[in-house]
Order: sequence, then C-alpha cells, then structure tokens
Amino acid sequence: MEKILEVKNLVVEYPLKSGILDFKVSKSGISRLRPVVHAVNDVSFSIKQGEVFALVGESGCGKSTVAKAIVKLIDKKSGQILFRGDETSAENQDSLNEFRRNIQMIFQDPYSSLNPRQKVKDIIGEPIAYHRIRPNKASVLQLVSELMEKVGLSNEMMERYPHQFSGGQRQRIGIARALSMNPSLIIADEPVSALDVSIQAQILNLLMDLKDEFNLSILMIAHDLSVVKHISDRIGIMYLGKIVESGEKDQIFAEPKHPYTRALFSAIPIIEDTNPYDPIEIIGEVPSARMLPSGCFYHTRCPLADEKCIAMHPELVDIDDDHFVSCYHWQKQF
Amino acid sequence: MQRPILEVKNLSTTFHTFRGVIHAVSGVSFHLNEGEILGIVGESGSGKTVANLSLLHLVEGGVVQADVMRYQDIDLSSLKEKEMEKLRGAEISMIFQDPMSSLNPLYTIGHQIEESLKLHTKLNRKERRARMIDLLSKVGISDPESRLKSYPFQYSGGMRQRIIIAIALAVNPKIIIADEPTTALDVTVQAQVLRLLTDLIHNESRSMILITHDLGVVSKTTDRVVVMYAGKAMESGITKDVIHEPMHPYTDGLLRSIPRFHENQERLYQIPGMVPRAYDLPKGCRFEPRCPKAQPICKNEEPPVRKMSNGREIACFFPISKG
Amino acid sequence: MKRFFESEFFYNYRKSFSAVFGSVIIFLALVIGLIGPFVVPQNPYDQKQTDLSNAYLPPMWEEEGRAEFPLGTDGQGRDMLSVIVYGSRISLLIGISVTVISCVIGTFLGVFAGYKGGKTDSFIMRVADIQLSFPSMLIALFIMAIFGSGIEKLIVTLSFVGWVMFARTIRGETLSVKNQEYIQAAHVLGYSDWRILFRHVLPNVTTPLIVLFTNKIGNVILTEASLSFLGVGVPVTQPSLGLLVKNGFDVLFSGLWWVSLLPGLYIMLLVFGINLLGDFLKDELNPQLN
Repeated sequence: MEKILEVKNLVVEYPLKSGILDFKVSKSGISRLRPVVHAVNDVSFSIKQGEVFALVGESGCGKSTVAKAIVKLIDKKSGQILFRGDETSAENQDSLNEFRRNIQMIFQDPYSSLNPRQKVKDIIGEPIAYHRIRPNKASVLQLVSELMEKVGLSNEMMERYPHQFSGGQRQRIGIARALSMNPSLIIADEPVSALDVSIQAQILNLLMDLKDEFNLSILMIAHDLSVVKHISDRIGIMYLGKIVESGEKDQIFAEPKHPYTRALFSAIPIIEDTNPYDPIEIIGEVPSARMLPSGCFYHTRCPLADEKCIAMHPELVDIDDDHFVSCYHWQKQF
Repeated sequence: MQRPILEVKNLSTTFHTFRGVIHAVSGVSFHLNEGEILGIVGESGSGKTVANLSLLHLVEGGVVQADVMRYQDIDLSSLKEKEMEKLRGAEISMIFQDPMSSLNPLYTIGHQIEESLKLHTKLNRKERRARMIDLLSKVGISDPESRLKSYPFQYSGGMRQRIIIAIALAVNPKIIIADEPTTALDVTVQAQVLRLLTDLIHNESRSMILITHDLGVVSKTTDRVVVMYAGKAMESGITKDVIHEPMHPYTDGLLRSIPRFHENQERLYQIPGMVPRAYDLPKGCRFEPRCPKAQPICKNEEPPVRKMSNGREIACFFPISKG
Repeated sequence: MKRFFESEFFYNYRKSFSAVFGSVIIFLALVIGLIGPFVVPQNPYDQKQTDLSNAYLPPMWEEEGRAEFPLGTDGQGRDMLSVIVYGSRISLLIGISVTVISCVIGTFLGVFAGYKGGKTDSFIMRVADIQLSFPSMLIALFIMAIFGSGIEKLIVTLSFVGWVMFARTIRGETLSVKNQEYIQAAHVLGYSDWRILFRHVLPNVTTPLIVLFTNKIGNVILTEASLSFLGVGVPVTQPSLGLLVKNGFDVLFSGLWWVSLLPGLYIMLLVFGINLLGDFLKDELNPQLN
C-alpha cells in the first residue's frame, strides 16, 4: 500500500530561555549554557493510505510534539517529513498551501479550538473562501451546510457562536473545519479526551464513518489505550521522545514486548473482568526531558535493566513481521 | 446489618442565578458503610461533586436541603460553621483533582502537613515530626526526612498527589472524599495512586467516597457505586452487579459506549443527544430525551426510586431485566 | 441587542447600584456637555456678554447673590454655571480623544508586539518601560513647556504618554490568546500572518479594553486638570475645569470659595462617576485584573 506520510529520524528540541547569567566557567574559559528540552528524539514511522496510526504515550512523551512538527506548527531540528514521498519546504508558498490542504488537524480542547468571535458558518467557511475552494459566497455556504450535515449538525446552527454549543458539538464543528480543506490525512490530537464518556463514542464513530466516506488516513495522538485499541490499525508507543515499540495493533495488544509497553498495559483500568496483562509495578516517574538518561531512556524504571542498557541505546529492531521493539531484553519474562 | 457511617437522604442543592434556578442536585440519597469505598460516577454536570461539597457545607451561594444528612451520630445539616470546620479537618478529609493547585507553592511540604497537625491534634513538635515522617513513608515517598524541607515545585504530579493524600491522612480521618484524584495523572501513575488509596482504606479501617467519571477506575477500586445523571441518582448498588448487569438504560448505554478491551467492536454503541442544561431540565425522567426505552409516562413523571434485591436501587419505570 | 439585555452582564449591571449611579452621572455629564451651551445664560468666551462690574458675585443662595447668576460669577464677571458647562466640554473632549488615540495606538502596538514576539516585542516593550519609568506628568510637563499650551498639543502629548498602559495589557492578552488552539488551527489552515493577527487574535484581546478605556478617561481628565492647574495645559481663552480651579485658587482664601470649589466639585463628581462604572466593569469583565 502507498505510504501517505513518512517521518524519518525526526528530532525536535525546545530551547529554554537562557538568561545572561546562564554561563559555565571551566578550564577552557567561560561558555554559555543553552538548555533545551529534548521533546522528540529520533522518531521514524510511516502511515499507509487509508490507515489509522496511533501514537500512544503518557504526558510529556512527545506525541503531541510529533503532530505539531508534522503540520509545521513548530520547527524540527532535523529529520524528514515526507508527504506522498515529497518534502515540503516552508519557503515555497504553493507547495506549502498544497501541503496544508492535504494535512489537517483536529484539536484536543473543543473549548479553545474554535474562535469564540466567529459564527459557525465563518469558522467552517473561512478556509473554503480563503483558499478559493469554492468560487463564490453562495457556493461556500452550500459547502458549509453539506459539511455540517456530514458531521451531524443541522445547518440552522450556522449563525450561532461556539459558546452556544456543547463540547461534543464543538468537536463536530472542528471536524467539519478540518474536512473543509478536503484533506487526505487528518491528525487528531486527543480528539475525545476532553469529552464526556457518552459523547466520546459519538465522536469516535463519526471519525470512523468519515474516514470511510472521505477515504482518509488518520494519525491519532492518544493516551487512552481502550480508545486506541478500538480505533487504530497500527500503533507506536512513545517514551521520552522515542518510539519504543510499534506494529500492528492486534499483535502488540496480544503480545506486548517492550517492558514499558507491558507496564503501561497492565495499568489500564479495565471495566469488565480483570486486566489480562501481568501486573507490573512501574517504579518512579518519567525522568525530565531536559536531562535524558544515558543508554536506553527507560533503564531508570525498568526491572530488566542491566549495564548494557545503561551504556547504549537499543535500536528499534523488527522482531516479527513489522513488529518493532527497541529493547535488548524483549524476550525475557519478568 | 451495620449502621452506615455516613447517610444522606433526599439531598437537594439549588443555585439561584440570573438564568433561573439551577437544580444541581435533586433528591439524591446514598450511604457509606464503614470500611468500604463508594464510587460516585457521572459525567460533567451530573452533580457528583456538588453533592459531596454540600455535605461539608462547602457550596458557595447554593441552598442545601436534605431529609437526613448524618455522619455517625452527628446531624451535618444542623452544624455551625465552626463545628463543621473541626469535623472537616479531623474526621472527614477531602482530596481534590488538581495536584498542582492544591498545594501552596510558598511553603515547604513539611510546613503544610504540620499546619493541619497543629490545628487538629495536640501533638508536640517532636511527635508531629515523627508523624509526618511516618505519613510520607506511608504514601510511598522515599527519604521522607529530607523531603519535608522541599517545596511543591520540586515534585511531579504523582508525587504531589501523594503529598496531598498524606495531608488528608495527617489527622487520621474516618472518611476520605476524593474528587477525581487521578484524573490529572498518567495511566501508570494513576494505577500507583489508586493502589495506594485502596490500601490505605482497607488496611486502616477508613471509608472513602471516590468521585469520578471513569468507569474503569470505579470497577477497579470501588465496592459500591452510585450512578448520577443531571443531578439525580439513576442507579446504585454493588459495583460488580451494576457493571455486569446494568438495569438503568443510562448505565447500560454508558457502559456500552466505552470501547471494550476484550472485544473487537466494529462500531461503538452511542447514546444519542446530549446532557440537558442544568437550568432547562426535562419535566419527567431526566434521561428520557436520550433513552431508547422511553415511554409516554417517562416524559411526564419522574420515576420513583425502586429498591431491588442485594441493595440495588433504580430510578426507572422500565428497568432492563436480565435474560 | 436583545441578547445584550438578556445577558448575565446586564443582569448584574441592573443589580449594581454603584454602576447604575456612575452611568447616570456620566450620562448627565455628556448631556450637559452636548446641549449645555444652548441652555446656559452666557457664552463666557464672548467678552461682549460679560461685565467686569459683576465680578465675584456669590451664588444665588448667598446674601448678595443674584438669580441671573445661579452659581455666582468669577473675577471677570463670567457666570460660573456657564463657564463650568463650557469648561466641562473641554475636559471631556480632551479626556475622550486622548483615550481613543492612546487606545488605538496602544492596542495596535501591543497586539503586534505580542504576536510577533522576539526582537519586535523586546523593542516595543522596552520603549514602553522607559516611558513608564518617568512620571507621565513630568513628561507631559516638559513637552508642554517646550511647545506651549493648546488643546491639540495637550491631546497629542497626553496620547503620547497614554498608549503604554493599553499596549502592556493587550500584549499580555495576546500572549495568552496566541497559544489557544484556534490560533494553531488558523496556522494549520494556512492563513496569512496578517489575517490571523486581525481576524483571529485582535477580536479576542479586546475584552480588557472597555475597562481600561473607562479608567483612562477619568485618569486623563485628572491629568489635564493638573497640567492646566500648573498653567501648562489649555490656553486661558478656553478654560477647562482644571484651569477654572486655578483661576479661583488665588482668591480661595479671601472667602470667594465658589470660584475654585464649584469646578473642583464637578471634576470630582465626574471622575467619581467614571470610576464607579469602571470598577463595576473591572469586576464583571476582568476578574484577573484585581
């Protein structure tokens, strides 16, 4: 199948503000300190046409940063982001516009993702008019009302402002806005985590329906593993800015190999019955992304860690038919 | 059967605003037995938090009414503000959702724990210090002696929540009311904190009310559960029963709309529509507009609470029967 | 409009005595300023209508008072009621126009600095800091002393020192709006920077303006009065309320209290009304400003 998006060796760093007092005196003289947050450290993955790929991880693991780097909301330090095999440069306005139309984003917080001073018809209609997707006002409105119907809103609501809608409805407006550009890839950054439980199902179902109807590929950023298991085809698990395990969803949920994945899965609060994964008490908390640990980033919390893990970072290796794991001890039991 | 340590009957909390009267809680009854964890589960606007704040006289600008509001032999509704303050510190503690804003950034951890010890116990300096070290090690903080001198910003979210739990435990309360204590935390940290809380309850004969929106958390930690919707209790009973055989259409819909771990579902069940606004509630059953089993009577009359076997209570005219 | 009258804001407004009282004062002051000149007995700028022999007559309720000069007269025989009405026009004119100009300049610079960030931001904000580190009265005093008095000059000078407060507040607001997801969405949708700035950022940072605006008017009226009192404000031929206070100040201790005190009371009442409304707006619209 064709790869619609390919991310290769992506690295993103946030510079922290360095004040005039941030310097270090050593034998070789005075040098300025330039503290950075290592948000994404060498991440590679690809998304195939028509597939849902989920990036999973706990807060601060860099999953949202990956999403923002892909849509160029933040600059990458190095690495490549290829859309249908091509890299888009930010300088070339035409290719950038083309890129924008193809990749759209759905945001996490339905309360801050819509401009409170715009009516719904403008929120959805502005991109259509701005990019001349439809030639005149009447046809723009026509498309707006079609899109609203597609996401389950009646078009009488066009004249209303965001505050007149509930969280779930706002998320639908955000989805319609993303669809207005007729994209081929949608990046959904925690699209249901801010919604009530009974509304989450509505939005997840809607996303799946739209995916089929518009032939979309989806990059889903999420922390809720039940949602990820339901919606995705393949997943990548991130820890401290690295993918530690990736592969087909069924395979990973059936046999998680990386110690972190196993710990993560065993912590899921499952409603019915008991958690099928071996109980693993994960020790301590995630180290700071300002000072990354040596070797494997997980070694500070891993029960299997040995000297090798402290010394050298394990490569992401294919252990079984597109199932990648970055661990020296993936075959070991606890 | 043993008498419950905390009992609430027909609790109503209303707010008068410019849009009209808001019935945040209307006629909710529940009780907490000694040594158990009671889950109160509901979506936003269900009144689960307000109901508990009402118990402790912490509702600002609201009118609280109840037939019974009893803790042990104390009638909570008749307590004066001073007496309530004493009770809140010593017998019933609260843990809030946001571990970042519940601690004062200007004082050390030790100072903040000691404050409530000073206020509510007669321990001297030395005893207080011993108790604080004991508390911190109990909530799983290593090297407690030096940790007493550190400030909140030096801790991560999970650690702060542990410290808040330590503060709540400081005066040895009988009841802990925890409002979404793990919502702001990551899955792995959530698991740690929940395990800590359940251990502390079960090993030391305390009782806890756990307010949450997460049915997974409810199923994993609680003994009994009350399901709230739009200010009313829809269903309550032993957690296992409610989760495995929901009888109220709302509970049933809620459970079915969550992705299940053991099945591969093509499509999730979805409850249609949305939660009614608090100042514009349906006249009859509050779930009627979204209910698949609704009949004309549901539109016009509020269903009474029916007592079923095994302590189960349901507010529905047409409950789901098994089979 | 209907939405406004049904809003929580209007509901609270109706219930707030001080807000309604303040607005009544402001409304009356505006009406007096607008139609006053057609009603009062005299045009004090017209020397033909004044008579020096009527100088320093007390208000009508005093023993020597005359009904044709209800609030008495000043040293040039001008009717106090008339000069106060005319003077309030000048005070209001300066107060409102200075505020409008400062607001427009300050908002634009603030939103631009906040949105662009980096060097642009540093430059604009350092200029503002430098201005703030001098008392604005002092700057105005220098400028007026160099260029001489005059209403237009006063307006320009006070606007020059007045934009800083607007710029700082709007910049702060912009910094928080800039990180909202709808601004990120606008970038992802490929809008140009100017479009994002004007269509998406600007409309969302204006809430504090109404509060700043009200407070600023009162503030400017007082500053103008002080400058005029010091003799570097409006020209003697067009006395504002501040200048009227100064004119009467010399004779205040000879028992001729009304010449100075009456215009002074009017300033006080006006600014009091503005501040009452301003405080209400601050509580209602911008709780974080407290």
